[in-house]
Amino acid sequence: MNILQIENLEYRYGNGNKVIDGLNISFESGKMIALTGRSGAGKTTLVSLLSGLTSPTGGKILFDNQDLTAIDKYELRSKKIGVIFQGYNLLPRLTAKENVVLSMDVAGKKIENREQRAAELLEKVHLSENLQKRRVLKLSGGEQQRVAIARALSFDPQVILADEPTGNLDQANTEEVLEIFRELAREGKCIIIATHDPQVTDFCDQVVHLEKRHDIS
Amino acid sequence: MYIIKNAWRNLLRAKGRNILIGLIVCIIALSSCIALIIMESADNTAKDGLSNLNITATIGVDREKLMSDATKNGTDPKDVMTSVDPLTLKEMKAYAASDQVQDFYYTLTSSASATSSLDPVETSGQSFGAPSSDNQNQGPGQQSGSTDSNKKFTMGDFTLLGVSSANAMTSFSSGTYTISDGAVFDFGANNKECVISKELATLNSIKVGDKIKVANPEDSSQTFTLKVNGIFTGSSDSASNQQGGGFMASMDPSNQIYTNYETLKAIVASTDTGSKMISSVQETYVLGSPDAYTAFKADVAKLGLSDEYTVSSNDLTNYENSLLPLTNLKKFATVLLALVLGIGGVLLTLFSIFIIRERKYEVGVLTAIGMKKKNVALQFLTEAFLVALIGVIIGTGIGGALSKPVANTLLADQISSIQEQQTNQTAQFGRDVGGGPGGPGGQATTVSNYIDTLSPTMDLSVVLSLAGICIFLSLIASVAALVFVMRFEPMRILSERE
Repeated sequence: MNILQIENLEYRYGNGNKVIDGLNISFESGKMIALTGRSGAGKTTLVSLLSGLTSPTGGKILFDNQDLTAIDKYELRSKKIGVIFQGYNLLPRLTAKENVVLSMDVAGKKIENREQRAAELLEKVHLSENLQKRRVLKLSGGEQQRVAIARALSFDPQVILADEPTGNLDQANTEEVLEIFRELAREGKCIIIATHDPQVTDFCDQVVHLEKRHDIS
Repeated sequence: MYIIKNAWRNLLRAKGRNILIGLIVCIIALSSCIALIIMESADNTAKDGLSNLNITATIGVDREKLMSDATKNGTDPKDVMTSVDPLTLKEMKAYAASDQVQDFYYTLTSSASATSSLDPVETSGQSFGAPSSDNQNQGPGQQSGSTDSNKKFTMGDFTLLGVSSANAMTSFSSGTYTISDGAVFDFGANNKECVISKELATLNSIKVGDKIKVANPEDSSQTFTLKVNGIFTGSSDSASNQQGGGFMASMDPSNQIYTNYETLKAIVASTDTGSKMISSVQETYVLGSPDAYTAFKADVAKLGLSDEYTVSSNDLTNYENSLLPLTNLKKFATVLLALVLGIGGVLLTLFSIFIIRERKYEVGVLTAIGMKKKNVALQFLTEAFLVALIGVIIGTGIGGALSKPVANTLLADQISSIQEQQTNQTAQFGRDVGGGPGGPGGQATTVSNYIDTLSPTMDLSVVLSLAGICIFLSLIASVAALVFVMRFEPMRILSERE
């Protein structure tokens, strides 16, 4: 079943540079899809478009057969799509656990004992209890990345969009994160990962390679 | 709920920033609290004082209007002034029929000269060379009330006061004078009885029961005999205040002779046409409340009082004058409040713009994880409100405690400033020319009984005003963040950071 569908998608920057042009892809539930391509090919832009953070300049995106323009973007990001940002985008004044709990609060889903669920998720990404209580500002890049992953999983979304989720992780941790994603895919979720990492690409069920464009129309 | 939780957490985690905002809010609240309490208590004090005031009124010729009309019409002001006669006693009594009048009394005032058996008490500054009987002056009470004529007349050595009732003897009922020997006369009939001052009695070796003889100032051969029924004493302060700077012996309270209205009326009536004693009637309507005073003004107009006359109340005028320092203090408090809110508002706005850079990222992250803009705005507003609330509570507590000493110190400053102004004026003019309007006898009055104590209390209206200020400051403190939240998209904020 296609959870996300891209039809003739086009995106131009403000200066007129077209970064995505005529893109057609279908993303199925229960699969892990890798978005690859050189820097500037539009991987991060595509993640932004799929999460509703950016609006396309042409074509359309369907989420569960519904045009994304008709869906409340805030609802989409807080309840249906979990985004793991390349720059983590965590709240520096909050602890690791508080960042995860806040995400559940924003989602507003009926989740019993949010603190406990946050702790479980953080343990799942190998963040110790001690580190869970630390403000994220005092965590390393890899630790922050794991908090961002836990946050994206916290509200049980149908789709997980991850932009270079393993960029700051060592090989062992990368494998563990990929295993988590695999498990989620088995549960029926769609995992879309923008990456340069061949280890990740090899692990995914499908690879979408984006070509870099330079045309100005 | 999580918005409040998050706001509170942010409040605790950004202590430096919030303490600074809280401090600014606290100072604004403290100053506002003092200003509001001063304004409120000044209003309450004025209202309470007014409601406790027993207002009396008189009706007199409206000279101001007559002068104004004369200027407009190009007529001679002197002609206009003499064209309007003071009210007669009959007319005065007719206006006393108003339902608003609780009591009505009147005093007939005239002047009498010394005789060989009765010398006046000498007053300081009286040595003008010419004999007192030669003093040409305007008669007492000529400013208002009923006089027999407007011609120049001879001023005597004594003031004769013919009162209609005990209430008309206001100096006695107020405690300024006290009958120390004998008793006051009866008021009903021409009984030829009087009361005199102790000074006058001592000077002339007069005892209660003795008879005194005074003369018509216009014709010293005409004398009138009165029996002394009582002797009164008075404070030297009141005497010196009322003697008109020592110009006239008759103005000295020691030379005032009280009798009843009928007796003095008979004396005046007995004088010959060519040497008629000048007299005037001064009436007093006791009205009670300020509302009754306003209603009385309407009543007398309905009863036919011409607009050439005016109803006035010295009690009200004096009371309004006594409020001058309080009014000044209220003005000062209003300006202080406006300044504090203005400067404080600008400071908070600048600070909120200054810290927006730090908050920008927070807005981006919160909206990126799906928090709606309105909720982000609400969280920022809640944070600002909580800081403002804490600042306002602390500021209000301190302000409430400081309001009484601050208010009374400022009030004392206002009073001393006004008094200094009066002292300077007195020094420049050589005597007290008064700051207030003229009294019934045309004497200038200087108010000295200013309201000098405030009892500031925090009532509901002050609390509500402070709550309003709290909301105002919250909005000001979060306005930049709110504008930012509403304007920018999360991706733009986050990409700018990256």
